[in-house]
Amino acid sequence: MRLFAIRLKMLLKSRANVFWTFIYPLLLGLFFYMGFGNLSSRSSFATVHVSVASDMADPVLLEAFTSAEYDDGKKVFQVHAKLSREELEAVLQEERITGYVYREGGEITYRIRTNGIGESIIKSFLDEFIQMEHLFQELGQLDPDVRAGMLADLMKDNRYLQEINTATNPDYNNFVIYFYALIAMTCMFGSFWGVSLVGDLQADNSYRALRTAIAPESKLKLLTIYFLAALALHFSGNLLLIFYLKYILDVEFSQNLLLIILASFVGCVAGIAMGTFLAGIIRAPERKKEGIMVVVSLFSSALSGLMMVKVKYWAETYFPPLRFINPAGLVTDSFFSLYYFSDLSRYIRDLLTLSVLSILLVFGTYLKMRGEKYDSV
Amino acid sequence: MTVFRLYWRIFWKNSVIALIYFMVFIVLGLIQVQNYPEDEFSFSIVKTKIVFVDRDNTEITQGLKSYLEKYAIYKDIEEGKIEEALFYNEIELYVEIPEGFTEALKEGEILPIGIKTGSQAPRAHIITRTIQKYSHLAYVHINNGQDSEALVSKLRDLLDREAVVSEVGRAGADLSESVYYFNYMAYLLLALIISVISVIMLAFKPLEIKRRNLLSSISNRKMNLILLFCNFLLGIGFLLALLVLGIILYPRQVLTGSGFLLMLNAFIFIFPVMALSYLVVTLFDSKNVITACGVVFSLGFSFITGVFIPQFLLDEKILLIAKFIPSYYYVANNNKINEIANLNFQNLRPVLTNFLIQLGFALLFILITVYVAKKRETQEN
Repeated sequence: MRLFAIRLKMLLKSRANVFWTFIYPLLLGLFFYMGFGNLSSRSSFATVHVSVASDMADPVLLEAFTSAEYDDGKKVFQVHAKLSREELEAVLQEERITGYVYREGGEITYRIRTNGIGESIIKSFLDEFIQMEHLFQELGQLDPDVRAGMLADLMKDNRYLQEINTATNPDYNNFVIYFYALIAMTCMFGSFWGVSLVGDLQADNSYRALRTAIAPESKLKLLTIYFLAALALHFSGNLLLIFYLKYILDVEFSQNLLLIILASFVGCVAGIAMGTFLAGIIRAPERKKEGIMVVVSLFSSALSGLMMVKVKYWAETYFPPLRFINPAGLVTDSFFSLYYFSDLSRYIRDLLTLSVLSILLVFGTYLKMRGEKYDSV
Repeated sequence: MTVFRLYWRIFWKNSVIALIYFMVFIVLGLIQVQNYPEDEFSFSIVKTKIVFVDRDNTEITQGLKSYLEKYAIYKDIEEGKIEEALFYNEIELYVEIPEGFTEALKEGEILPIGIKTGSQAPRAHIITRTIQKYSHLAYVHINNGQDSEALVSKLRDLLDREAVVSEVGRAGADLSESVYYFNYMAYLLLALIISVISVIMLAFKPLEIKRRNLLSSISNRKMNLILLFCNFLLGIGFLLALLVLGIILYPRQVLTGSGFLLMLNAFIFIFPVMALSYLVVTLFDSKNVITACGVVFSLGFSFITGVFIPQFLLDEKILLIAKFIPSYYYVANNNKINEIANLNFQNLRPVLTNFLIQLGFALLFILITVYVAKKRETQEN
C-alpha cells in the first residue's frame, strides 16, 4: 500500500502527463461541444421555397404545389407567385433565388442555377405532375368503363411503404461518435503512464530504475503496483471526463451508467497495457517512446472516428481485422453499441475482445521484463 | 550569418512535427479533391445511397429497380450491417420488397414494401415518393386489366416524361472546394507556426544564453532582427508549401482573381499568428507548455471560428466569442471572397476591413509582447 501511495504521488508530479490525460481531453471536449454540441446529424423535412412566374403559371400546378404535404402534415412547398417571368429572371441572375418555374404551352420549364436537395424535390415533383397529366390524357382514349375503374383506383390513397421496426435508437445523432472517440483517445493516452512505468522499472532507462532494480522486491509485484497506481489515476481522469461530457456538456449516452463506466475501465487498462508493451519492446529514450505513443494513440483514435465519424465505418468495413485489434476502435464501438443498439451482444463482444487484448499486452510486457539482466548499465 | 545558420539548424531538429502536420494535411486534401466539381454547371438530381433488396424478383419489381437508378445509388451491404450503415450515413435508405408483392397487386391487395430510413429524411423522401408513385401506377394498371406483357415498358414510357430544365451559366468562379481547403489551412498555420516558431525561439530564451549572446560581436538589436527575418521566412515557407499544394489540388479555382484574394488573405493571416507565437514564447518558458498552447490554440480557435464547422452552423454566442480571435476574420473573408461574383471596390470593402482587423490583431499581440518582454528584461537585469 505504501509503494502504491508513493507511486501515485510520483505520477501526479508528472505535469505533462497530467495535462494530456486530464486537462487536454476536457478542453477538447469543450471545443467539440462549442463546434457541434448543438448540431444534429439528422436532417428533418424542411419546406422548400418555389417561385412560379405569375404571368406564365398553371393554376392546377399552383394548386398541386400548395396542397403537397409530407406524411406528418407539414407543407412540402412555400409557393411564391407574385413576380413575372422577367422579374424572376432578374432576381435569379442576382442570385437571390435558386430557380423558378413557368409554363409555356404544353411544356413546363424549371429555370435553375444550383443543384441541391430542394431543387431535386421540386424537379421530381414537376416530373410527377407532368406524368399524371399525361396519364389523364391517355385515360380519355380508353373504354369508359375501364377509364372509370382506373380513375377510381388512381384516387385511392393506397400506402405501399411501411417502416421496418428494429431494436435501435430511433433518435440517434451520429455526432456523439466524436465524443466517444475522445473518451477512447483519453483511454489510449494511458499509454504515457505505461511508458513512465517501464521507464522506472527497466534499469537501463534511468537512475531511479537502476535503484529499483537492485531493491529486494519482485519485478512482478512492482509491475503490478505501478500498473494499479497508473490505472487508479488514469481511470479517475476518465471518469471525470465522462461525467463532464454527460452532465455538464449534456452529451447523449446510454442510460446504463454502470456499463459505460465498465467500458471506460477496460479501455484504461488497454491504454496503459499498450504503453507498457510498446515501451518494453522499443529500445529508445523515454521522450522518443512518448512521441511514438502520441502517434500510435492518435492514429488509433483517428481510426475510431476522432477526426471524421465515417472513418471508423470505412476502416472497419474495408479492413475488418481492425474490429479486433484497434483498442480505441473497440472503446468507441462499445459506447456506440450501448447508445444505438438495445441488444447488448455487440457491447459484450467489444469488451471481451478488449480484455483479451489487454491481457495479452500485459502478459507480453511481463515476459519481456521478467528476469532481465544487464552486463552494464 | 551565424545566427541565421543556427536558426535553421534548430528548425531542422524540430522539423518532424512540421512533417507530420503536412502529411495529415495532404491526406485530407486528397480526400477532398475526390469531390472536385465540374467547371460548367449542369443540373442533376441529388442521388440517394440505398440498399435495395428484391425478394419478389418479378418484371414489375425489376422495372422499379431500373427506374430508381435515376434517383439512387445502389450499395451492396450485408444484411447484418444495415443498421450500422444507416447510422454512419453510408446509406440513407433501406428498401425491401417482400416476396409475393406482385402477386398481391394482381389480387388487388397490397403487401407493403419495408423501408428503413436513416438520418437524411429529405433525401429518402424523393425515393419513397418515387416508389409510392411507381407502385400505385402498377396497381392501377394491373387492377384494371391493363396487365399486358408490356406493362413495365408502358410505365417506363410514362415515367420518362419530365419537366424541361433550363440552366443559368455561373457568373464567377465557384470556389467552394478551395475555400474549404483555405479555411482548413488556418488550423495548420496556427498549429505549425505556434509550435515550431515558439520551440525555436525558446532555444534563445534561457538567461545564460542571453548573457552569452550579449557578449558576442553581434548587437542584440541585430540578432533580434535576424531572428525576426528568419521567423518571417519560415512562416512564408509554410504558407508557400500550402499554397503550392492548393494550386496543385484546385488549379482552376486558385489561379483566378478570387483565388488570388484567398492567397492574399492567407498571407495576411500569418502576421497575427506569428505575433501570437511570439507572445506565447514570451509568456511561457517550458517546451511542454508551449506545445500544449500550440495544440489548444490551434484546435480551440479552429472549432469556434468556423475552420472545421461552417460559421453559419455555429451558435451565435460562440460566434460572439470568436470575434475576439483573428481566425474568425480570416474564415469570414474566405467565405466572403467566395460569395463575390464581381470583384470591384464596393464589393471588396468588407474583405479589406477584415484584412485590417487581422493586422490590428497582429499589432495588439506585438504590443503585449513588447510590454511583457520589457518587464521580463528589467527583472533579469
